[in-house]
Amino acid sequence: MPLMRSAGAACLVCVCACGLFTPRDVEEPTWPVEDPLGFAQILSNSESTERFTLLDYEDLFHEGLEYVDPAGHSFDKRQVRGRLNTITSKYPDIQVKWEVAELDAQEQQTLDRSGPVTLNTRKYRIWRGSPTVTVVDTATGLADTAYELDYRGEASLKLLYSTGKEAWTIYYWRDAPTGGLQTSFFHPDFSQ
Amino acid sequence: MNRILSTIAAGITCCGCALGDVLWPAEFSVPAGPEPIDSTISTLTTSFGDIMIKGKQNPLHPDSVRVDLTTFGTKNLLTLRKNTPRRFVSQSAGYDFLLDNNVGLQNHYIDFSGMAVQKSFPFRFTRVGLEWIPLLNINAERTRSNGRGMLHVGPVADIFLGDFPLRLRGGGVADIWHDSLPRHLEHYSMSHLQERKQDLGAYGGIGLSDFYRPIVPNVPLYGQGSAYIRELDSANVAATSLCGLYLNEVPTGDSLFLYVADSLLMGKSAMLSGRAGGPMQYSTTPHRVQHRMNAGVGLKGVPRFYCVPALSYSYNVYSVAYPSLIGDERRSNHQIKFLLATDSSCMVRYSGGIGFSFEKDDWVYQSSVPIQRSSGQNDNIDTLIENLKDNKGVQVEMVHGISTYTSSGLGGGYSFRISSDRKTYPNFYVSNGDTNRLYDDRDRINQGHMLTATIFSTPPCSIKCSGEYIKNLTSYVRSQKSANNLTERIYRFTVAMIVIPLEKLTFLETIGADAKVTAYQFPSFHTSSPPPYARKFFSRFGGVWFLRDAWQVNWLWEEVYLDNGYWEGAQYRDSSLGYITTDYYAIANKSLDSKIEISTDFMIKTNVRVKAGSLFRDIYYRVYKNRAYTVESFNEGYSMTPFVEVRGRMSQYSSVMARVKRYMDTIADDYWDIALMLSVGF
Repeated sequence: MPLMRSAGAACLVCVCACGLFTPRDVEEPTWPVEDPLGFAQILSNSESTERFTLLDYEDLFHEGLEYVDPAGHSFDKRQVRGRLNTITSKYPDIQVKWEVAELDAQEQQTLDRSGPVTLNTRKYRIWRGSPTVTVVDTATGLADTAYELDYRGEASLKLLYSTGKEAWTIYYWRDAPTGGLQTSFFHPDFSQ
Repeated sequence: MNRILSTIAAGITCCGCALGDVLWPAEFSVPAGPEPIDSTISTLTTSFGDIMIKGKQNPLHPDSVRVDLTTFGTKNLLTLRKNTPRRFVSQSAGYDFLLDNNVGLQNHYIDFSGMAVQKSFPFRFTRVGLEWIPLLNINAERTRSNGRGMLHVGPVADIFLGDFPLRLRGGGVADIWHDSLPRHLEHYSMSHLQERKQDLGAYGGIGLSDFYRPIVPNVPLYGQGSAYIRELDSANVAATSLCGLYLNEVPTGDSLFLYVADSLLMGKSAMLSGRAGGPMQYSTTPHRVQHRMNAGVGLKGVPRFYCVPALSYSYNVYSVAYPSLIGDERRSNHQIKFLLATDSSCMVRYSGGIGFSFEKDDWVYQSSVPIQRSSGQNDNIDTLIENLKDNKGVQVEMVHGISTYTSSGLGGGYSFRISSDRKTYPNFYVSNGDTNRLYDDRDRINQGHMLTATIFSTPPCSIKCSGEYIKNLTSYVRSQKSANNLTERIYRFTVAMIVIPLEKLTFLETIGADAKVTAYQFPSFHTSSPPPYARKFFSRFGGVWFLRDAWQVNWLWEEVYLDNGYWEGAQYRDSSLGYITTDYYAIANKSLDSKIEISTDFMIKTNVRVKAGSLFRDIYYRVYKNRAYTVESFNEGYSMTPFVEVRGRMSQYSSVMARVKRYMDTIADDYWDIALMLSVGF
């Protein structure tokens, strides 16, 4: 027993001393916390008083995230994060806008933290580059400008409050493109 | 201990008992064999789960109540089976239905698979028969529906080489779909069938062994292999798989495990896809080649010097390649684990282990990618961006647990767990003089300490304490993301007292406190968003009283105070607010959750169990607004949820479970929560 204890203690000391559990030196930040794809607007552009407090996409998306396309195929967090990384790398100046799809839909102000919460449908628009054409709706007088890169869609989202992180996370995302696309711009298999 | 007491005592855990077991690979075990097929028994299983029916009162017409079915799910499977010395026939009828009005979705899935086999034909060691696999899936969303059906039909032949089975199968396959069906079934007509689209082809397959019995008699070697090919104009696919497991005792008495598995998939998958507001289309995944290989070796030792050691190594590789697209990826992983535990003869019990995992994720692995962006028509930007996602990872996890208890129940234990997850993204490319790369290089280090002790143990009373400290560190290396670096600390303390004044009466009181503190490594980048802070204090008083052998009463009274907000430390404050000189915890909201649950549990005869009871609950919730705490309804008032659950076994082949809950609230909508499961064999 004394031999075992000594051997165990020695191993523990040696392993810890190797720096395996010590973080690497970090660089001083030059950029603030970013949300290039505007996911914070999902809650901020609605009547809800809740907010996403962790906007790093590694924390924003729940580990058990399920992304579902219109055909019913599902993808996990790793696949979705891979697509989001591709988007932000290829289009650093991309802009995204999220808003509630049905203007008269009543949105809950506070959300129940005991289980998944289904939000009203959100519509989104992704664009970048120079405007290509502006169309004016003669009935309403509203103008709509199209851009070099311009995609739209609708998302059904479920949120889950993570008690470990004390923050809301996106737990389920059913995505459907609008316009002339088969797959959404956020779809892990999207290709132009 | 019944459900309520187990809920109360969940925070008090025994440590140092089997921590190392969590690291032992799951592949090193032979799965339990298939259930034997009774010659005359067929089964019907039906389950209704997740039924949510909400009743809503119209405030303009208080006498009327509109009932909305929010969610509903049911799975049903009827299997008719006849197994005689000469023939085996099986026919299944399966129907699954899912309704989710939260997202406007209905899904129907139908399966009429079956098989008919003539045994010992044409030879004593062969069987010949026919299989059919018709499947239908209908997906209905808010404004449109689509349907897809697939049918496999063809002969099957089994050849038994001793106990080693070999199966051959093949036949025709039909794929039929319609991308614009009516939403409601009553609007379907023959014209929809005539407007269908279809694809016809053929399939074939071979299967070797079944993994439940040794390949060679008296040799502990298990294996299984299969191959499948399907020829469809739009969805050709070929797939193979092979796995083997060897486990044996070596001359020293230790146990040796060897495992290998390999699978290959080439081709396409076909499915319906569409876009909101537009027509549906039948589309396929890109042609891909997907390969997986797992291999491992493990050694579990016999007890030596009061210790039981174990060692394992495994290698996994996964690759997918798209001949016509950029997106090929290869992931490989090496894992080494070492475990150690004391044997049962030791008074002081120890178990622990350490595991290392080395991962490599290689995108665009089939070609050499330059670091310079091309110009003009040969722009290689898509390849360079995919290649940025290459990463290397190192995970290390170590656990230790030690405990000792006297015969009177006094004693304690300590457990320690630490893990490190390190990722590095080494690739970059240069474009117009700018260097582009991902900035997600990061370290995640989690550690936890738990101390438990039974400080008093004299009948009829015992007192247990536990304390836990958890520290989670997230550290991004590069300046573009290091502003996200943070440390979370969680503190927990619990005291539980169990009193058993009578043999059939038990009381349990637990009090405890939790606190979670977060701190950013670079506070100056969070002046408008200070770190979150949360606290919880709780008391749970419960008990169980066995009135009779088959009748018990349970109760639970729980009070939970919870607040969360932000830590307004000076380092997170806007310097213009110079008049605030002290740090403080800004509570954004706080709640007091009061709950009383009473239930009774009894048996009727010996095969029916009934649980009935009710939960009373109130949440007093306040939010900080306009410099004061105002009461928020949280959309709930006082609530009561009576419930009844009945489980019965009618006979050897039938069982039923039914549960009904009624949620009644003074403010929010009332609703029914119903679940039903029926299983019948005949």
